[in-house]
Amino acid sequence: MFLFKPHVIGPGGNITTPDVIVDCLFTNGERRSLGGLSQECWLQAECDATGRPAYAITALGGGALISPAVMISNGQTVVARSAWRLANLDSHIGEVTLNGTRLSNVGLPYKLIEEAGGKEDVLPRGYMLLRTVDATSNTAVLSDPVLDRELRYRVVLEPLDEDRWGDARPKPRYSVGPTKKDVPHFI
Amino acid sequence: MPYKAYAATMQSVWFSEDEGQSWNRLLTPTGGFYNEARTWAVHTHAERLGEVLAGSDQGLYRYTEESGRFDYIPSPMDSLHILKISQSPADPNFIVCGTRPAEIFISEDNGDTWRRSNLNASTECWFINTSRVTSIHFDPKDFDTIWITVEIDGVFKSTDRGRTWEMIVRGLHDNDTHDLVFRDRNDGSRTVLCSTEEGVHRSDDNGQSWEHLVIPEARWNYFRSLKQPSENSDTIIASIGDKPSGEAGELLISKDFGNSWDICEMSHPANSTIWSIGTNAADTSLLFAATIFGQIFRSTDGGESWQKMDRELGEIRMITWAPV
Repeated sequence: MFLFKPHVIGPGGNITTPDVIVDCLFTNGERRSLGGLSQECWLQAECDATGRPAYAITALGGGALISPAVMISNGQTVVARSAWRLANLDSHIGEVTLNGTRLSNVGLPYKLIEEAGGKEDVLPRGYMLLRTVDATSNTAVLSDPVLDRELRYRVVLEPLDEDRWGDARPKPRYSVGPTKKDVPHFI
Repeated sequence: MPYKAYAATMQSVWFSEDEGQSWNRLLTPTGGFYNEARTWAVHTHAERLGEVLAGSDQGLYRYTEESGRFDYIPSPMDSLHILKISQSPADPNFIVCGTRPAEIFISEDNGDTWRRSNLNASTECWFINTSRVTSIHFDPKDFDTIWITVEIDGVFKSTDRGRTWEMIVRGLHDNDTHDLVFRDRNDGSRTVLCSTEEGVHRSDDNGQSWEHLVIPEARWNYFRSLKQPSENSDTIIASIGDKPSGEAGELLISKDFGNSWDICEMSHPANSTIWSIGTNAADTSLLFAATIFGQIFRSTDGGESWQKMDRELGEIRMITWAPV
């Protein structure tokens, strides 16, 4: 189970904050484990790991959401905590771009939804569908030229071979409050 | 001067536009922030009128008067509790956040990118199990120097914008530290006071050593918030309580930077430890204080006397105010 916590930005600028349980993930049409799904914007990854921008469609009661996402070459998938309601893009969905490529060329969300057994902006509950674009970037940008807005999601990959402590990573410490009297310890 | 007061509570952020009389949250469907988010920090900056940063268990958020809503700021702190926020007095784009577990995260570009500081705070601590940051202060004379308090671990100082930290606890009777105030004098001398679970400590050598202050006026040893209504003044307001969270609290005032204290006059008894005091240099006579169990007090005479507001807010972790 994955608890998605998006900020859903309406066309008028209001933001709703539904929490969504996702328990069924498809990437480019293939069922994937939720174990690699995250909404963190900082991830550890191999130093040669690269990102591929994507968009994610998430089933929700008021209509499916679309969010930027990034698929990392090591199999991790990260989805932004920002989203638009797909229904608000209905009339111009083909003009929306993912990292500069029109969704009509990336693959329209409605086609993904149909392939997953849904229709229009309704998906089976708990579903999240990802579609990647053929590009290499750790930043995914959904642009809506008609409503003049953008969702940008940047994932910071921390290379595994870099240690912020250098050669001086300290040991874990236990600390005590009162120093002038004996206190019971609970360890 | 029109102003708003802000309270960080266990049900997100409450706003008051009428001098603390009534309080409201943003509407759930438009506010951008879950209305029951546990929120520990609200922070304003003099150069950013109408902007409020809020730290919660859902992440970091920015409210602006222009948008009338909170906007989520992506950061590496999403899965942590964001307990304290500070901005450099000289540069509001320089943001420092303290979390539970005790870590420091720094952005020098207004929250666009973040680095996790190498703060070697304790990873486990006595009694509360997990240490946490309780206050963040930019040094009043050198904004590249940052001081923090950690409960339970002590006082830390960084002189390189948060890249490395020195732990400065020599002489503290208790490493459960909560807050700091600074007094720099014309002769170059400096005194720093630190509130702890076991009273107030004083340092005359820039934190290298601490001396426990005897404050007979204080009914309890549990000191929480220390604030100066005016920057670098001798007057300090201190909040205390019988224990955390406690069943009683008081405010103390010192006009000689901690040498002597008086109990502040309060219209009603506090129902728990007074957790937070809010000041703003825009009006040094106006202060707010909040008990952890939801009472709000307001002073319009620089902290000498306090009037309880009718409205209570459940559980308050921080209160502040700013001109709008």
